[in-house]
Amino acid sequence: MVVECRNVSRTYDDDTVPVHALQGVDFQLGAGEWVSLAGPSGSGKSTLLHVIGGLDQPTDGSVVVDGVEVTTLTAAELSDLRLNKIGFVFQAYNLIPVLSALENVEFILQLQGVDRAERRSRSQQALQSMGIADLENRRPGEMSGGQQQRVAIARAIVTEPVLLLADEPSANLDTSTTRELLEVLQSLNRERGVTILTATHDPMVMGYTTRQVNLRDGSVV
Amino acid sequence: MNSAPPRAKALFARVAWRNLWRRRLRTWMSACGIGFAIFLVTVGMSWQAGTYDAWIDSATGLMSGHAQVQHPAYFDNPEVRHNLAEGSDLTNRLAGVPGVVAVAPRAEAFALVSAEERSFGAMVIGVDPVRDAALSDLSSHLAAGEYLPRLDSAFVGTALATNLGIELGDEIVVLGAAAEGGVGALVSRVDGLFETGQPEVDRSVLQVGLAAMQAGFELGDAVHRVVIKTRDARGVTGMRATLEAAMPAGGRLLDWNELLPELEQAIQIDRATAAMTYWLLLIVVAMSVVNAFIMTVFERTREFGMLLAIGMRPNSIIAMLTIEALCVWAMGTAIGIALCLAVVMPLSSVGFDISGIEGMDAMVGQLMMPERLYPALNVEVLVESPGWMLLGTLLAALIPAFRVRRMPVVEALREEE
Repeated sequence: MVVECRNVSRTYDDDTVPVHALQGVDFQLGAGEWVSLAGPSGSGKSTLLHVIGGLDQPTDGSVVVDGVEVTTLTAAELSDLRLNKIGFVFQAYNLIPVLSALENVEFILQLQGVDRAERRSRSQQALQSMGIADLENRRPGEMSGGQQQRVAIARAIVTEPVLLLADEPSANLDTSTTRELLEVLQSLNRERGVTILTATHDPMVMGYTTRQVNLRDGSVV
Repeated sequence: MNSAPPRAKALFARVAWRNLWRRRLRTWMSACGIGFAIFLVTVGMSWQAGTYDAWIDSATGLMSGHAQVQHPAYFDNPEVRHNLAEGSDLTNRLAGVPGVVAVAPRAEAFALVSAEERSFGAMVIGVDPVRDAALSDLSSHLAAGEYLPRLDSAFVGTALATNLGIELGDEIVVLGAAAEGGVGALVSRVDGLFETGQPEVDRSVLQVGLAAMQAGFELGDAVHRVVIKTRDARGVTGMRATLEAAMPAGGRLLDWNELLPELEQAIQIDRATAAMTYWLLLIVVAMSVVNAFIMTVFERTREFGMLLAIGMRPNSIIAMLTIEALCVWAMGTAIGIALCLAVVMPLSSVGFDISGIEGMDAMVGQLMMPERLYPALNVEVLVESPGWMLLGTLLAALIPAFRVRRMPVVEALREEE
């Protein structure tokens, strides 16, 4: 199993009433799967994604990613886990605006300490696999939303993570761009065996995934 | 679990530099603020340094020199018997010390000076006219006659001459306690009058030839002070060891700080007053840099959240912000120092005429300040304010940067840009 969640709860202590974002969630994700976490807004899908990605800590329960118990890691260990084992694709692309497409992809390899030649070669390959090799010198502001999201995916996969987490990756894209993006993710999943977990409420995204897990009010239904 | 690898630091620098130009106006405003503060402080400090040099030169140039060798008890208890034997030998030895420009021996006594029916107490100083003129300005304040042209000449302050009712060519008798306990006496002819503009000096000092003074007051070859002028008054402290090596055992070396404590005190007070103004200026500028960096951190919250999410450590983000601050400081320092050099370098060679400034003319006359002041550039002037500004800029950048350490990643990712 790449991901194993057991009885995961996450409660936000709001000023007025506690908000139970996750309540006793049990969830497993096997290697090579592409699973979509589906559900309406506020169902807890993004929270579960964040907890699995080590961006947020559960109030209770256990989260194991690639054999590592995430809930017991220190902040620095969580940073290293995210850097080396998890790739993130966000709804709002979230690229570094002052770096070119190639530099954005290289950035994460540089954090890992990969040497210049290997970094350059791997980053160019990643951009090529996303079909945007010709845009390597463009900065995010000079690219369309779909192109930026492809750069974000290239950045997420260039480290060859055990898990790719995508939070509403199609939210800001039109239908045809969404389809292109999903085909890219599908080829990553099918041809390279990348394990993907996607939080979405977009039926088109769910149609591409191999399995769908529905959440409602913080619980798997 | 290491922090950012060395290769990543070059990347942080590149990202930091580019980030500065995302808000060009803000970056330039911050750099110019730092530059203007550094410019004002360095110009102010170089003006002060030039003024202090002038104060020191005028104060030490009249009588005291940059340093003196005395009998250990003479400074606190200036009696004739507290003298240094073999004054000629000591003078020659001190003259040979590297960095010493001029050396002059002096024998002194507080004595009663009489002319016909009037008598006044005065400080009688026996000097070697040639050696003394090389380190003392007194001879240049000649009001009438000549400066000690003969062995029995006297060079008298104008106010003392008026009090005594004497003129050039008149004879005066000096009576005081001799070194051996007897009565010291000498007769001199008034060949020159001086007027320094300092009433205390003009009414209570007269100079006579050193040999006449030593003979009249049973001093033999002894002297009370050997006055030393060095290449640079401020360098005396560094020469202390070599000067002391040339002194007789039991002699006491006093530099101008000790001889003229009121001068050092005046410099310290002026320095402290100016420092308060400089500090206020630097703090105000640092506050504006704090404001700029707070804005930066708030505006880039989502970006920082993304960097944390992909595995960048908070310390690496802080390092990136610190590099941004260093770049702004370096730009500001370059602006400030360039402006300072453009203003101060020409003035340091041509000087600035202060005699025409209202209130300064009196200072020029009374304190014997030169009519032109020359701002002085030195390492301290050029390093101090950029150094403090660097500290201020780093603190200004780090205060908001540490917000990154406490930044919840999920909330940061939800921030609107």
